[in-house]
Amino acid sequence: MTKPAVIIVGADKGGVGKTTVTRTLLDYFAARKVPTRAFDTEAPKGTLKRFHPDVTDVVDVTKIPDQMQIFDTLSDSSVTVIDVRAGLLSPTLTSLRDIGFIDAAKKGQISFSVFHILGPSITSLDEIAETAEFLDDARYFLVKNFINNTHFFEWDQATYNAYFRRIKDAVEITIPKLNEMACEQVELASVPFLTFIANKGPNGDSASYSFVLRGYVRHWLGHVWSEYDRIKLVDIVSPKEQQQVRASR
Amino acid sequence: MTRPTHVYIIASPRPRTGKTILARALTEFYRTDGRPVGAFDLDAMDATLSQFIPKFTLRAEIGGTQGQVALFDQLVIDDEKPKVVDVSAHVFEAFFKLMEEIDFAGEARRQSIEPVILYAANSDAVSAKTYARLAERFPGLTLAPVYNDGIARGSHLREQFPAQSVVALPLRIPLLSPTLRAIVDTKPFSFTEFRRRPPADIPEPIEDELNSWLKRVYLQFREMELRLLLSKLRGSLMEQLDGRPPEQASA
Repeated sequence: MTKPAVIIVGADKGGVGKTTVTRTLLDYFAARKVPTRAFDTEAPKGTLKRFHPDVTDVVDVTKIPDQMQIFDTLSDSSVTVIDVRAGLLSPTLTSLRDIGFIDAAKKGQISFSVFHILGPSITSLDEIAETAEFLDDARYFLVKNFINNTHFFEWDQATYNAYFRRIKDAVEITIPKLNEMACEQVELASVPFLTFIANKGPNGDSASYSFVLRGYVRHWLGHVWSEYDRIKLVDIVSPKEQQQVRASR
Repeated sequence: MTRPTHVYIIASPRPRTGKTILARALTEFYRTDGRPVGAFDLDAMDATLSQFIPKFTLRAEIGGTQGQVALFDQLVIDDEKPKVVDVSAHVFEAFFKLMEEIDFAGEARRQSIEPVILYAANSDAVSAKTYARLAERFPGLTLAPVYNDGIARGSHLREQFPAQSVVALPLRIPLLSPTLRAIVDTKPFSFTEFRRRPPADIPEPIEDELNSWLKRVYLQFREMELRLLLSKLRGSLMEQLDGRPPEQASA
């Protein structure tokens, strides 16, 4: 049996690189031929849509029509990635519970994962406590995002551990730092990381990005993906049988 | 088949192992042939190479991203123009770490660029260890040792710095006499200019000595270039005969 997969990427505050992580996920699934659609909740502008216009819709996850657009159309064959705007992680999980989504996940009808992007402050730890109650069976990933060179060591380790233990089976993921200039150039180019590495523009035309900066992005993305390989992300969203069916087509 | 673009990386983890004179001679070797050439000087402090051949040398630095872009984005241009990079000892590790991280070897393979590391040998243990490690880090690249008679002599060099392949045979830079050394090291001495118009104040035996030194060095450069071209040609012939890349054909 196959089941729809939903990944929620959230953070309680802005500027922790949440959309960057979402973009690495979309590239990862694209490279592994896992069909993916994405929702950007930063209405009305949508940073994610700028980078991945073909697979992204901009929605307001607290509005019922938009919830219908996302959850009534879950399909077995693709992964749904939702980039939840800063501060909306708890409200989003609340609405998911209200519409019975959390229950469905608990019954195993939906594969549900949460990527919680951690910021450097203690407020993001409070959010872990808040979200913990929703998530028995969701796969909960605590993402330490160093892309902006955040110093996690400023945290008190004992406090962090106390929060960390509240979520059963939470797994840590580390996103390493990316060279600032490389990061900036990808922002300017407004293309997926993979497209940047391949030296292509938004329309697939050839571009002339710096080789050094492409090298930095390639190296960094390789590290990020090895983290996703480590947690067996493809298996999580698309169980073995399903992959075989797809391969045999 | 187009002509590959050779990028010579002249390096040693030790200072004063004859890197810059090698870089100067190699750059001027192409000048003598009237071919275009570009040199890159990574020695921020002394910038010796830039002082000797300012017209053909760009000063480079890899401490910051901008400098890295300025240097390596030039090195991946497949314009058939040979490039000589003088990697000074104090940026040795930074240079090869960056080269590894941005996968310069991979990009070179995709383009028709052939990087050649010319490793200035020295008789200390660190130099030998670093040489062996470099061969492991960049298995696809041509890594050739350079024995400079003015720096270290003796048969043990061949054991410490063994040739990595038939393409990457060692180069040997003959000893320069102290008088000649002083002339050659006085800025802005140019080998090309010297051959074209030998200075009147230099005695004939000295002139002969320098010419014969230069002849021996240039001959080795020419042979090295031929070996590189032949191996490339052989690879592409094998590919055409078999319809397969040479590595697979031999397996």
